[in-house]
Amino acid sequence: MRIVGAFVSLALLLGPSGAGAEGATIPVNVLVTYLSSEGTGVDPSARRLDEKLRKQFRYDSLQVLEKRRIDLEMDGVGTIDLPNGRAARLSPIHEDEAGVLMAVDVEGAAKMDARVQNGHLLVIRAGSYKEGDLVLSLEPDYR
Amino acid sequence: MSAGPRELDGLREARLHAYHDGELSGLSRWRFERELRRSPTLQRELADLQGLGELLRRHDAQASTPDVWDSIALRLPAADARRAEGEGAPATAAWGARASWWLRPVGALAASAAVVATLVFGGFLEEAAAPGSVVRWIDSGNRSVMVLDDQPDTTIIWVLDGATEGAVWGGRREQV
Repeated sequence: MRIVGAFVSLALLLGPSGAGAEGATIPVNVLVTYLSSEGTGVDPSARRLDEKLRKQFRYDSLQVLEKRRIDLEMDGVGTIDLPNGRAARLSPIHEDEAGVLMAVDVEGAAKMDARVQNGHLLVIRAGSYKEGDLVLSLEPDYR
Repeated sequence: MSAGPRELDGLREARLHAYHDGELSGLSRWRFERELRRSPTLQRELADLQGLGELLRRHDAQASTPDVWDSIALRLPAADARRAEGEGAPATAAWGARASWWLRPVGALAASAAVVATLVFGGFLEEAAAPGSVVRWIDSGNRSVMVLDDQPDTTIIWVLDGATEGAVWGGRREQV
């Protein structure tokens, strides 16, 4: 009986746990926003993003176009269709205490690898849109 | 010798496909069209075949490039970055050797002390494992990019629509 218990304990130790385990998913909060000077104000649901951007850029309108949470499988690819006709693709490669290593490809803008800690906001300008800028923000939220 | 029902179906089906593909001519075509006029079943089968062809053509037109390579290509640099992280210091040295050609213009950029937090570079950045840095590798083609990482919980990557000559950054912030 003691041997069985040991095997069970070993299995529990070696078994999948946490986001880094095989087959695990990385939830990412995705926010697609439109930044402009149209005078329509800031969407309250993007207050955190506004706090970050306002320190760097001058604008008076921040409109949320899409807000969702996507579960990305490790090594899988998630696609976000952007309103300017482009697409952004994300692929989590690896996760450890330093964060999630993600490959990000925003069509017509940039391809990048980023090691993003849980809750860290990765904000990417995804090109022009209407009279302003399209901004994609990604926030891993797995703990 | 007469053909059994299965053989007859097979022959009809073969002629139907040949007619649909425009391979029947002359008398064969006339005979088949006469049979087609008399047989609602054959008419229905021909319509199905035409519908299937149209569906296939539409699918081919809409099908995007197979995503398999794109997916792999998307992950390749990250896989390299992960390997470099695992290798530690030697990887950093390797990064330095690779990056030296685009670090040269940094002298001009360093003249402006105001660019400590705002890292502007054009096109390409590759970094092995600068502690605390979020962006490990970036390729923006010929577009200029600002990486703003002076806030602890946020990294802003501002990809400009146009290119900026000589605005290059790479490596750790203290190297700017």
